[in-house]
Amino acid sequence: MLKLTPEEAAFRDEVRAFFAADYPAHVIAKNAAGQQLDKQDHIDAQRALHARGWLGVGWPRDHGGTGWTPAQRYIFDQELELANAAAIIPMAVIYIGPIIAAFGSDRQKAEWLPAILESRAFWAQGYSEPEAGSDLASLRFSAVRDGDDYILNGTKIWTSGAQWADWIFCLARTSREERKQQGISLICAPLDLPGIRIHPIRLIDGSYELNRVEFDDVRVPVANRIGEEGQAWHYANVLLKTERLSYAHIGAKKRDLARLLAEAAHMPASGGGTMDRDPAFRLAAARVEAKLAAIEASVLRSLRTEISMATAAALKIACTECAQAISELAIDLAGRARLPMLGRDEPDWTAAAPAVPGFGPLAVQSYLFERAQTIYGGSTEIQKTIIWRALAAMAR
Amino acid sequence: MLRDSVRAFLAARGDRSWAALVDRLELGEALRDARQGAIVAEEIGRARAALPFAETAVTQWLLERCGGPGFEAAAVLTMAWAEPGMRYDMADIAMTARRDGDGWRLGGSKSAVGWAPACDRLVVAARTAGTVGERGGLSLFLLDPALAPNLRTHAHRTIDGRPAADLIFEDQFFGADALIGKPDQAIDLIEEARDRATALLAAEAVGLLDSLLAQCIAYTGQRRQFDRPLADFQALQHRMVDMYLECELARSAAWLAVEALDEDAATRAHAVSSAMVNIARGCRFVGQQAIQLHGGMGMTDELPLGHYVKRAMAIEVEWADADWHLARIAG
Repeated sequence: MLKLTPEEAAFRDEVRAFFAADYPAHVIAKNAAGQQLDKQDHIDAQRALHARGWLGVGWPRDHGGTGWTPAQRYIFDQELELANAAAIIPMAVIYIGPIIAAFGSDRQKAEWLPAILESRAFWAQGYSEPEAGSDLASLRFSAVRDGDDYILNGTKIWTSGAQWADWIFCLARTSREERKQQGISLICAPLDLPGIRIHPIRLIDGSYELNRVEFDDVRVPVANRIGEEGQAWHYANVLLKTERLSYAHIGAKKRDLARLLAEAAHMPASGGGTMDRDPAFRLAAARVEAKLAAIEASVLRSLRTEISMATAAALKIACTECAQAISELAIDLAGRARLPMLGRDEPDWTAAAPAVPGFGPLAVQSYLFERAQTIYGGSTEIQKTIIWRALAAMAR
Repeated sequence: MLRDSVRAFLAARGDRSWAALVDRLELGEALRDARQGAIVAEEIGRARAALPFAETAVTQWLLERCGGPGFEAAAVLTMAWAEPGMRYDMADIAMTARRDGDGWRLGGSKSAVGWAPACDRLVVAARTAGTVGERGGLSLFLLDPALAPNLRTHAHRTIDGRPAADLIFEDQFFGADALIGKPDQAIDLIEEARDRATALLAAEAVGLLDSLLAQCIAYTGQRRQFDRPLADFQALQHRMVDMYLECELARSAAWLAVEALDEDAATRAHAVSSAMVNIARGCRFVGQQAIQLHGGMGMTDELPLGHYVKRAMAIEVEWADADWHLARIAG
């Protein structure tokens, strides 16, 4: 059950060959060297995937999607990560694309979906607000009907990639209902409209990945709403079901662990020798490896069977904590090499600290950035509440 | 008294520089006496002030022990020991200092030396005899980096926002007076210097962790989700209590380290390592939980929180990490 079928193994080989031969080498090189990717890199990467018909990973076939089984999708994700290819920016391709395909109007499907697949449009996600984080349903961002338009007001926060995006999809309150999950609609806006201001947020790792986006009387046509008014919570949950494994990143974990084991062979140990022979480090690495093996088995198990909300929540916690454990092992291995904080925009970024292995600054920034994994997409605390509700229901 | 005046100085707006601190307060004694130094370090931690206190104190101590020249308190002093080819054992220092006439020629690299780009004088540990891995053969040199044309200084910032540099000595000549203390026999002093610096860092961590916990209590008390303050959730209350337990141990650990500094070498080593194992675990746990409890806000550079966490991450490894200390306890 945990093994690939012969067909799946053949598909894996096909995907592996694609990343080796038909994918932009400069993107892989930048990623492998720890250099930050820019928008053009992502465009190049997406175009290569699209040329092969492999960009719409979660989309139905009649909208240009791959129509893959969950196992194929998993194999693809894993090979992409193992190859050091660019992670697909999820906002358009993974998050809103499938919702447009399922609930959008004919016109939305005809205009928005091809623009995403052809890398003509990048999207941002407007969900969280300053006062609505874990308690997302308490959001206050408002859309007020005015003839054939909505007037949007409010603030969205933690908007990743807004600096690159052309469009944003927002959860907006269109009415006050008894349950706060009701009365929320999914409304899209081009980011260059008057009244929209994007404020970059500097993160603890030094990056400017996230933004705060303010809407001040922004007017969009009602035709920019996806699906029915007041139904956005339902749509978001449909998406959650199909995207349960999007946090798995098993390939990335294997790649990062392998990379740090390789680095250990070059890191001096106390008293001579290298860190790959250091007993404390070897045990610590083995502990993470064993955990990762069990988590991979969990993911494979979930591909073959229908999984419950509790299982999905448990998997999110396990996957994100494992990614953090790997990043922790990396800063522990780095030792003092974790000290320098270096910008990584240029190919020769390591030259700023020539007596420190570049692995160190990379490890520390990754450690800091990965702290967010247990916060976004439903924090660990929220996942635990979901699991407890399921356990309590079993007792009833 | 000392605590109050340092705290008041660091809380005030305006110039919080080393020069201003030394100018306003009588710090000479705190630079010499570890118990007073620990008080200053703890308050520096609480305010997360980027000041070269531990570096200067430990370098002053080294100079005094070596019979080197004295400097006034305002001088920024630092010590360069770590190298790209070693981890934490001082016997692995490889940088060479070879005699050339009356003086010395230094060759080799030092990694991420805190305050190096901003210092007035630098003490460098180098090998005058023996081979890498031997305890014998290390010596100390007092240098003015501004007068060293063949010293390449690669300045950068460290995660805790301090100036640091990789120093590459390309056969740089220094006069005979650069050597301080007995040649070839510096390793015991270097190791004692590490323990003294570690005790001050432990004290600084006490202030840092206390403040991180206070920031979490304040934030979860004020941040409302699900129609109540986050601090109403018992899961989060207990998390903050766990942080408090680490803060308590950290405070005791810092005392343990500071009070052992004048004991014999073995007692001192055992106490300082025991302290640092606890401090490192506290830094890791409290830092991680502080970010998690702040949610997305914990990820931003706008809040002081992340800067506290990053300073705690630097303290974990600056002079030696928990694994090295554990190995020293295990013997």
